[in-house]
Amino acid sequence: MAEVRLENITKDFGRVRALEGLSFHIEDGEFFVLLGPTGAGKTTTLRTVAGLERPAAGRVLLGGEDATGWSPAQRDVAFVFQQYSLYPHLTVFENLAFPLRAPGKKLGAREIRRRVEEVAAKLRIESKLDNKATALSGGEMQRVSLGRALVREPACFLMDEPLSSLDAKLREGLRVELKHLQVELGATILYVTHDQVEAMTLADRVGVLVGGHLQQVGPPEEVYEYPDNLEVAQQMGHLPLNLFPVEEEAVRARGIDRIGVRAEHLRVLPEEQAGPDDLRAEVLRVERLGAEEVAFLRVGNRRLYAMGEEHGRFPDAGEVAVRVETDDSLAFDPSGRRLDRDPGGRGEAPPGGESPADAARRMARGLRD
Amino acid sequence: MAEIELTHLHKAFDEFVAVRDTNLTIHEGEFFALLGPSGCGKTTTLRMIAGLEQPTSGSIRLDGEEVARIRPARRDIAFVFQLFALYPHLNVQDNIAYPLRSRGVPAGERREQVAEVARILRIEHLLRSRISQLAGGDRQRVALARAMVRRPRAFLMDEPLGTLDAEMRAAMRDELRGLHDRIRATTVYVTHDQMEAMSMADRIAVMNGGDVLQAAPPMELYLNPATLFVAGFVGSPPMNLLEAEGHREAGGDVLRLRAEGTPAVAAPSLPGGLPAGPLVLGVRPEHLRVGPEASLPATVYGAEYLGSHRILTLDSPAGRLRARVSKDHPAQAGDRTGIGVDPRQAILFDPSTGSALNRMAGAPPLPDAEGGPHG
Repeated sequence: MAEVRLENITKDFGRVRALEGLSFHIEDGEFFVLLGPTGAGKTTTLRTVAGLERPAAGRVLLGGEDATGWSPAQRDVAFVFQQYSLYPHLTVFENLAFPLRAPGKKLGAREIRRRVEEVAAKLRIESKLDNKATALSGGEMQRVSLGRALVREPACFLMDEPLSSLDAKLREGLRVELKHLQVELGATILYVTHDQVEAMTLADRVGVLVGGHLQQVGPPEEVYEYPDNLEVAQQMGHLPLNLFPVEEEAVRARGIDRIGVRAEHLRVLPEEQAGPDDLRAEVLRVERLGAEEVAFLRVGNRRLYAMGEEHGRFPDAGEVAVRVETDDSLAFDPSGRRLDRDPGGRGEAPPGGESPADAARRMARGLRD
Repeated sequence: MAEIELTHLHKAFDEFVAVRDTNLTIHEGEFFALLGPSGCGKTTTLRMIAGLEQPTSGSIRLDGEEVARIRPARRDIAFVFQLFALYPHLNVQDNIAYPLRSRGVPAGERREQVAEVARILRIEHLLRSRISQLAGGDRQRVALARAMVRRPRAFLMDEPLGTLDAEMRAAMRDELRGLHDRIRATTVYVTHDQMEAMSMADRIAVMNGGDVLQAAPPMELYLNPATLFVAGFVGSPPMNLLEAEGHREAGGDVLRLRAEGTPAVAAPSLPGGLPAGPLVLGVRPEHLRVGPEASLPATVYGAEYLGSHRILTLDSPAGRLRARVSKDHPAQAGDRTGIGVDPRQAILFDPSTGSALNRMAGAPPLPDAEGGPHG
């Protein structure tokens, strides 16, 4: 496996710019996920790495070598499509051997057997080599599907939403398997998805791509907790970020336009416990989902979302008090950029100023009136 | 809006029993989900309520009136098949008015009724639009409006969100339930997606193999599944199910996991004491304690970060378990750790019948005990 590096990739389709100055690298053995909505340029990026698209400008480096001009075959990258794209009438052995029997390969039968057995051992499917592909479990199919790419000894794996068509339970299980396997094999993976759960759970690092621009790259924890801007904050997280407009002049003068609070950080209290700085909200509905509960709240014409893990934390209806906690709020400027950008600096009052949460609390008074 | 009462409802296709002797009451104004895997009988049940399928035996009452032998049109029930089935050559107004026109409702009245449902669904501004100009969510609203305009006694929906992508599905779920809160129409909703049922329904009937296994509010199903099937079907990840064995020993009852070298675990207290013999211990992922001090040894197979929490996949001598822990939990893939079970947050099942033997301690009592065989 090898390191993959993209430098300043720009790609146009006619007059539409699909990618704009895209730069990132994937370390050898790293699981890198590109997350973004439909049309963000994820698949174009993947195809550019594979050599199926030519960039208008910029370079693709594989293992340190400039591969921009290489054909797809020369690049030795392995596309992994749907989990079930196996040949059902062939045995596991034949499925794994298939890429090695390609006309250009000219490998002897003994060499093919050696490589197939080696890969099967790595994937712990040695005992299944004589089984028909259709007789496998979902997890085993995934292994064979990866194995078929692995026998070619590729520089990296490219995966385009490989789990998206599966039902929720199977997807969850295969997600865990895929991550485990990647660590075991030390595989370099570039994985694209629009599903933030996949991005958070699989990635060593996530790149959030919106409109052809890479917004932020970092470990999932960092991108979720310290999003660089509103786009990123909305892409990561399964409930929308609660946003409070700042109206107070003193706070706006410091460049703060909006305060964002994740649903799990919005404190909801019985109305009688409301402090002078708390918001009063109407409970529209509560979803009790088992391990967690989500309350849909309304303040004026604004929707808020609160998430909690204790049963019965939110009343089904009526009024509640909502509190923004100091440590868990994010401040954004009018362009949507987050202001306190460095991790660790969050929530601390800047010298001579108040913290974003203090600002939020003061702002809350304005919102209530 | 009507109450729907199914009594001894039974449907067999030759040898195959699709729905077995089912008793259910769907209350007036209730959002009721029929949940189960494909082939469980949920759609057949719905089609019998609609009149599209004749029951082999049993009765269907709408507000006390027996309708099992009445043809579908006379039942006054709206079956929302596929929310996208609209007439593409008609505009929104005419699509919604269609059922009224075919009943011969005069034009003035038609316009009024269309305007009213359009207001409820917030699509007044779209009435002049062509169907082809609408986004997916708006089409769904128009299809709902067309079903609503007839003022049916109940809505029946068969996986109406099935063809939408995940994001759209979440938005429509929210919207459908919001709509229900405004108009309080009796709704029977068929789905195989437990998340959809949990988030929308007032009560859920879980079906498998033609049987209703349990009918209860979402959290009751979640905390106190009546059977092993319900425990494994509801929840994401589902309930952990560990093979165990009860022993009546001199010092008292002992529960042991069916795995080599594992310590005895504390058992939930049962009214008649712990039965001797095979049992299954069920524990929800968020009720497992994970840490080196816990007694059941385990290796972390996967640790998934999800923003507000983590899901751990753990391999133990008792099998693979999933635990939901805080986002700051230190466990990493490959770590050796331990798993602990709190007997107050566990359910014992009898593996021979699949039935639960206790209720979770501290779980809220059932609001009312009717509505299904295991209610």
